[in-house]
Amino acid sequence: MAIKKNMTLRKSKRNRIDGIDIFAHAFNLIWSLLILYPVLNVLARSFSGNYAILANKVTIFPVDFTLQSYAYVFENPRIIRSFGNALLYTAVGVTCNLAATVLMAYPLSKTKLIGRSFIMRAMIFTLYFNGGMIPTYMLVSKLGMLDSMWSLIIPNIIYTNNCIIMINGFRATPESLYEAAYLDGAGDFQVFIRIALPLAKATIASLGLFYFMGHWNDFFTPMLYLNTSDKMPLQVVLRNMLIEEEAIGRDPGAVSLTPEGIKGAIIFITMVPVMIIYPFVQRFFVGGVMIGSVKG
Amino acid sequence: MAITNSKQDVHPNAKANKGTRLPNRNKKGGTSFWARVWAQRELLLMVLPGVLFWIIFRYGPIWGLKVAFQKYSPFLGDASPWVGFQHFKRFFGQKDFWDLVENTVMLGVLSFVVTFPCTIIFSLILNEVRQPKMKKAYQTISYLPTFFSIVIICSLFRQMLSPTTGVVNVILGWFGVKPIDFMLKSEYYYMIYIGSGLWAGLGSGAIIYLSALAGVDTQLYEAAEIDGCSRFKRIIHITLPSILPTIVIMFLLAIGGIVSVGVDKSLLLMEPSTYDVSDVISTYIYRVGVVQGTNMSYSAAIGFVQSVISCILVVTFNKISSVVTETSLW
Repeated sequence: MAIKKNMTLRKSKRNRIDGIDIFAHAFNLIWSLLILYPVLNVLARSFSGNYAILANKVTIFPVDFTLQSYAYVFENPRIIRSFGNALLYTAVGVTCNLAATVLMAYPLSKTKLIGRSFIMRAMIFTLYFNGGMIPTYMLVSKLGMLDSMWSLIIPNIIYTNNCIIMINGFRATPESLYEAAYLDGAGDFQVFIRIALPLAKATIASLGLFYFMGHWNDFFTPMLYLNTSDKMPLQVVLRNMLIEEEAIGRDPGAVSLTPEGIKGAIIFITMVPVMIIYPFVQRFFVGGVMIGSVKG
Repeated sequence: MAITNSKQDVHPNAKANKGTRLPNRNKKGGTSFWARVWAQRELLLMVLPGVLFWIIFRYGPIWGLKVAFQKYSPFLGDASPWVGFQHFKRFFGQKDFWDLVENTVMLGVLSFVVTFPCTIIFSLILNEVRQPKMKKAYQTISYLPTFFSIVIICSLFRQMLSPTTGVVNVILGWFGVKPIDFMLKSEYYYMIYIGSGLWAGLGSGAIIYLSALAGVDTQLYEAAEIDGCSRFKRIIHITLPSILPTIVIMFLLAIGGIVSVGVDKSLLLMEPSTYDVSDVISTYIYRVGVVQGTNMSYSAAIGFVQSVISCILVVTFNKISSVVTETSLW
């Protein structure tokens, strides 16, 4: 009886709201607001009329609802083409990245591999020392890859960090699961395809997400290696339209619109693919960060 | 052959990556090196493309750094004349050199000094939310910007800070402050650069700490509570020390980034009127080497200096850490 009373006492004490609770909630509410407001504001702007935006009437709800900005964006061939380019580069890029990374990581997850420690050291060394932008640019140009899709994919086909994550992912599979297959006479490659890959699905999904974000969100690599404007992906066009603000101002089609609304529409359209996959992949994201933090 | 392989696998392999090759304990005895190569032929074939990639695209550019010691001309290529340290001397002797170094170090150090502790404090605060659903919601919102590209993040900041329609100036207007064009003023550059870094990175940075925090033994808290330890004191005396190893590892991983201020973010936030604080080594390399495209050797030399500095930083701090805290990266 006395113990029970004591328990309830302690429990009620623990559930009591104190200063730290209030502070934690207040802080997190404000931070969430700071994160969400700019996003919602841009979204509201993209649906609002020009006068409302210029008069600062738009907060997180559209004022004078209109689809004019979206009509402009979807009629702009440059934006549509760059959207297609970005999808292509991302799809091909992520496929190549994943294939190359798992192929490299699986043998390296085997302790018996000849030269394993040497390869690992040589790999990790480049995390801390690399040739830098100019020698890499010269190499890409020497290999004749400038202004082609492959310049965005091949020079960074494996990220060292992701490779280490993948190695740890393969190692998480108990060795005993492979034993049976070896006893049945399967070779290393068969074991890799039939057993190791399916078991490492979660890690591969996380890596896929990292590589997806890397390609979809990258603007510097295309800006560096591509010259033809028809080949530019969405982020470069976005950057040119948003940051070099004159781009829109000079466009005769945009005279009647406020650039702010168009900017909002472009920003929002760029976010859409990411927003769509966000709810499905965010657990892989957290999982991936966690695996990555466990050093091999 | 396959069976031989699996027998070797059974040996505990936890520490085998320390460079010592496992003694060949094959009972049949005397397996030669080439026999082992043959036994692993499939694994070796699989690792081969990756190794080739590393040689060409990771070590190739390091070999390519030799242009820093040449007077590179596209027509002569590798046969360009050697000029020794001329480019380095020119860079060190230049008037802009100290400005560039100062800007790079200031931006790198300031954003590190602000971001690193803020991430830890943010995780601690988030961890104190005791309603699991609320905690989850706050955390999910906090790392939403991770999925936005750097272009979008910078555009959002530009919009919020716009002198005509930006919300910051609207709020300042309530207090009678005249609109300020933040992007064009050097004095706000650090604030914008670091602020956007926090906005975008706090949530994802907290993920690792939060999982470390989830692993803290709850018995410690209960014991401290019985001893009359206040909640704040528990955070200081139990929570923080428990996640110290994680903090050290994250510190070491972040330290190398100090001198490599990202070229992409700088390019998006800088304006010609803020070059006095916003121009960093990497943007300078990009302008001189790629945009103007005139002086490959000179900009490669500058990149070389940057790489060496960041490498030295990582190695030094790792050494210090392995002596002081017995935690190290390798």
